Amino acid sequence: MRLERGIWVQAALAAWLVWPAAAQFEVAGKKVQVHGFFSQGYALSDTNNYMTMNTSQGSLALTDGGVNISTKLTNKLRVGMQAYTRNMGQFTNGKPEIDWAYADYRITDWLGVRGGKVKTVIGLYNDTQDMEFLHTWAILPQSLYALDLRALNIAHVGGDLYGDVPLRKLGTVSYTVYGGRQPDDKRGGYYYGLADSKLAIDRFQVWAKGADVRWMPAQGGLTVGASWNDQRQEGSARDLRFGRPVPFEFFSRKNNTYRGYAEYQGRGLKFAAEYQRLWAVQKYSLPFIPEGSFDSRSWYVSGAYRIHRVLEAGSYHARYVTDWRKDHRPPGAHVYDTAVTVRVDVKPYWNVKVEGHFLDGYASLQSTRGFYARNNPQGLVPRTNLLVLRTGVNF
Amino acid sequence: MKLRIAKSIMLVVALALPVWAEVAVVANPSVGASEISADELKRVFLGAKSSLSDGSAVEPVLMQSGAAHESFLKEYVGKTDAALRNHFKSLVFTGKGSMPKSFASDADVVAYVAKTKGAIGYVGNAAAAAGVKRLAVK
Repeated sequence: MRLERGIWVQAALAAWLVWPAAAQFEVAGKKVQVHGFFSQGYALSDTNNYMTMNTSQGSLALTDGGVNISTKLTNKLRVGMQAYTRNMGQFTNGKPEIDWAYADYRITDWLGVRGGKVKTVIGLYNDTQDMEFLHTWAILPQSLYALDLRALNIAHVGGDLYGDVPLRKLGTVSYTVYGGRQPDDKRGGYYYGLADSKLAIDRFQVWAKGADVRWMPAQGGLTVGASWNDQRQEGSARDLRFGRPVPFEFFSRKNNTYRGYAEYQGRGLKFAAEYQRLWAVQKYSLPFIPEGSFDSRSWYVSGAYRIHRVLEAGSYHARYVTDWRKDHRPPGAHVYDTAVTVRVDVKPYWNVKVEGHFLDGYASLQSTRGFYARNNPQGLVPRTNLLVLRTGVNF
Repeated sequence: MKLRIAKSIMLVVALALPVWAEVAVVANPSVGASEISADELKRVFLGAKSSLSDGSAVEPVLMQSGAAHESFLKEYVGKTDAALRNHFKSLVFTGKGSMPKSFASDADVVAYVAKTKGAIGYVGNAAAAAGVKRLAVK
């Protein structure tokens, strides 16, 4: 029933999208803009099921869309909001959510403030990861932009300080400093993965603060930057591994993400690379569950070339290691992914992508990256070849 | 002989002149400045700057295609048409900016800039610019 409602929401969004005349109008003398996007994917794998979709049989459960409305109330004050919904395998199931909704007051070029629900700036694409039309890829490198763990850092309810500092001939430095509470997603991969380990979460709160700084030289299409994100997680859960549920509390002593990145765009070429370390220490109220820690590392390199106005081809190699301190070689300790993509821009507002993934490893149940025991009752195998077709429209 | 050499030099210079020399930056008369730096211009057309150093509020206006459009993007913005539209889409879909108005012809740009407070656009150098002011690019 929930899924049906989600599909109706998505159909309504698609209908909205073919009504571009609504993109801009005036209310009380203020220009109001409405924009939206919708995408549909198909995924087929030869072995493991991926992202809780039944990909080994071919799955169309890869749909998302959003619509936003915004206006400038004054030259310095902007307000807006975006609704977003997706249906990906067992995740989210078409439930609409407020993706972002905030007021943005730009005091001067080098200082602005945003308050509300704000997309979190981490690395090159965290805040734009849902907008497939902005990227060459049907699926962004999952080592850093995990579809199943999207809710853990996609947005925060709080505020940003941001600005651009011109450095004359040296270009511009842009910065964002933020803090707030991260929204919870009970239909996301975090809950789903822990349930596979027979842990049921009853309450989960995440507070985050962080910063991003990036430099763009005056000439050329280079961006170089670094991000830091510090989360404080706490919650309560039940351990279901025993005859009767055992309730307990958990909280993070440390959950820090450090990321460095670079991107170049020019002459039809796009190169990008990002490297991230996530260092976390988790404590539990049960005496027989020891303090847990992990030191995961993620990175990718990508390159794409626009062969023709309507045709782009590219490839990336992404690596995720669940715990850098341990042996990386077992398939349960990593996911390596080599992807090859062809993107066709049929119209400026409509693209079609064909993407092949050659995946090695499936990571651990506690550190999910798309592979879940529940969706693979026959047992996970070390290698997965995955074909993804995706088409999207936007206005 | 000297005349031929001079003509050849002039021809070489003319061919070497960047195409952007054919682009004029135009603004609504409400914009106080009479000149703008290349860096300011780039930041206005990337949506990173909404007012000029003299305090004038500005709103960028794009052309949809054409030689003046390509030249302007190449010389002043440093992005292709597709890359610039993607840039604005990334602002629009994260709530950090609006999609600029865009027009098919010089005349349409001039007409919109002339009637819209703070509007700043670009047209072919030969385009009629009634009702707008031309900004010199420093």
